[in-house]
Amino acid sequence: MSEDTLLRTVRLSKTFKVGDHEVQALKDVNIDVRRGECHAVVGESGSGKSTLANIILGIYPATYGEVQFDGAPLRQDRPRAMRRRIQLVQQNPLSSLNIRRRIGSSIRLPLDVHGIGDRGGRKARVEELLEEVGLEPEMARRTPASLSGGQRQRVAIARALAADPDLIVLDEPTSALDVLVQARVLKLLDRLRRDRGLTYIFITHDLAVVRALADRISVFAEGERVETGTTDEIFSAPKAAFTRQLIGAVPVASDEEEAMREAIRTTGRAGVA
Amino acid sequence: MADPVLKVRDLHLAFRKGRHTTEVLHGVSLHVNAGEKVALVGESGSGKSVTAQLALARLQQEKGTLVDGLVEVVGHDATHSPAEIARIRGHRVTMIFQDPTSALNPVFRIGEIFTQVLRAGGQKISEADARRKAEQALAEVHIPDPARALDSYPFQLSGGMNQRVMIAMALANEPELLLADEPGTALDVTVQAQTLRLMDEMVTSKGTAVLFISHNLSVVREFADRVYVIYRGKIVEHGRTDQLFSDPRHPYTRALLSAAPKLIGGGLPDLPEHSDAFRDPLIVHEGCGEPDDEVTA
Repeated sequence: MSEDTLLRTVRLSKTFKVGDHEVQALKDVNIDVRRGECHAVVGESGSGKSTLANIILGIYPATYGEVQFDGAPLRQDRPRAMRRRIQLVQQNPLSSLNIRRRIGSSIRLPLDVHGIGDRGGRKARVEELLEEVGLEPEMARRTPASLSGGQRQRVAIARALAADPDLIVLDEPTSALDVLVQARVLKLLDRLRRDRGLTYIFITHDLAVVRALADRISVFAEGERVETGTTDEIFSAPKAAFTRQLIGAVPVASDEEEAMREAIRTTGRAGVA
Repeated sequence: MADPVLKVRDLHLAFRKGRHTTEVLHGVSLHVNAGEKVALVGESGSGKSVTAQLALARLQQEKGTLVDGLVEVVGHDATHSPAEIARIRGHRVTMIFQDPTSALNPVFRIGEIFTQVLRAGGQKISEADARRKAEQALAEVHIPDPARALDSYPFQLSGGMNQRVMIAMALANEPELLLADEPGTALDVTVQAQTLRLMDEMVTSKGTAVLFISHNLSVVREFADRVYVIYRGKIVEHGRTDQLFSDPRHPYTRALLSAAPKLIGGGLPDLPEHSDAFRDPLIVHEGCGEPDDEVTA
């Protein structure tokens, strides 16, 4: 393992039993996530991208293959200190946040669980975290229901940051948001990664969303990784037919973009040769 | 020129809860001509979906709803006689929603729902004729095995299939006006693109007028003839699609455009939560006035 690799999967496979037949959700997947990068995992529903996330997070085990984290195998049953290092932000903060808990208490929970700071310091820490994601410290007393979608997603991000992780798995973090709110949340995620030296695995079905944020992109289709490249490579000369199809589906706002999209869809290259 | 199929004039809407009143629409005017595809674009809370709900007369009788102004749907007054709209809903004016799987009643088979749709507004049609018409409608939206789809429950079909079923149902009675509220946004981008292409093809061939509601300007670019941009209950810019995209003038329209993920251009835009400029007065592009203005002008 090269020393700048933070997480790697080796022939990762997952089979689910559905009735009396089996569905192979992941097939021999090797990915390599470098320390400090934003690695996007892009595919349609059923491509295996969320299965990959769930195995990395230890929600269920792989059927075959291995996840390595910071040079050591990462099993499903992992010590709390290891769980702290990998955090999750999900698509819908209304279902991922406890609606009965006040915001401050939700963000404080990881501090209590992982024994971060002393009791007196935790309240101040919660306020710092709220400010770090662009929310007023007073928001700690509110409940999720009284917040907008964008504010809730900021709370979910603050809660993930509370554990002081190395890696955050972002599972469609902006898919439920309007374009304007999405743009602001992406900007926040970008800033946090730079400020804290975080590593992201950014899962999405929409290639265009990760274009401004991702360093590298892995494209998944039907449980397999079909292509990995730098963001520039993926958008200027995608190799897999499925990647071209994904780019061909992106809604665009200008004639220039439309010409580029059609060039990729038909020739596989963005520029005129 | 014939009357528009949808005419909204100085529409105000407020919700009263106890002693507290929240104003949602502050004098919205828009129109959709017969066979025309018009988009209404804004973020959540801007009032775009309630405008469609008012056109369907589904809000007027709710407790605490205060409506003022004109909403005219295929010649019927939705503000003063919502019961008239209820009679034409489902055949002369129809709707498609964001999440097709939750919009279809899970306890009925697709075929049963389809028969109800074909009988909307008290139209008489036999079981056998309804079945035949439904099969034909599903075939038109490229559903591979229409007979089998009709015997399925909505949860047995994929989101993309249900979206096609919704489109087929919405257009089966050849309505004059279709209200499409973010169709496909709950689906994968590839399926969303297919859905939009299909909807475009279908409404064009049937000559149905559409009011298309979305938060994403890019999505409406290839579909709409004209676009209204709405911000906090007020229309801020209105123009033909080519005018609006080649020359977006209102600061809010520009913010919306810069927020959409792009294939070209670097970096993430820095977008303020709110800006006084977003409240700048309405900008109307050349030749795009409301029908009544043209008369008085």
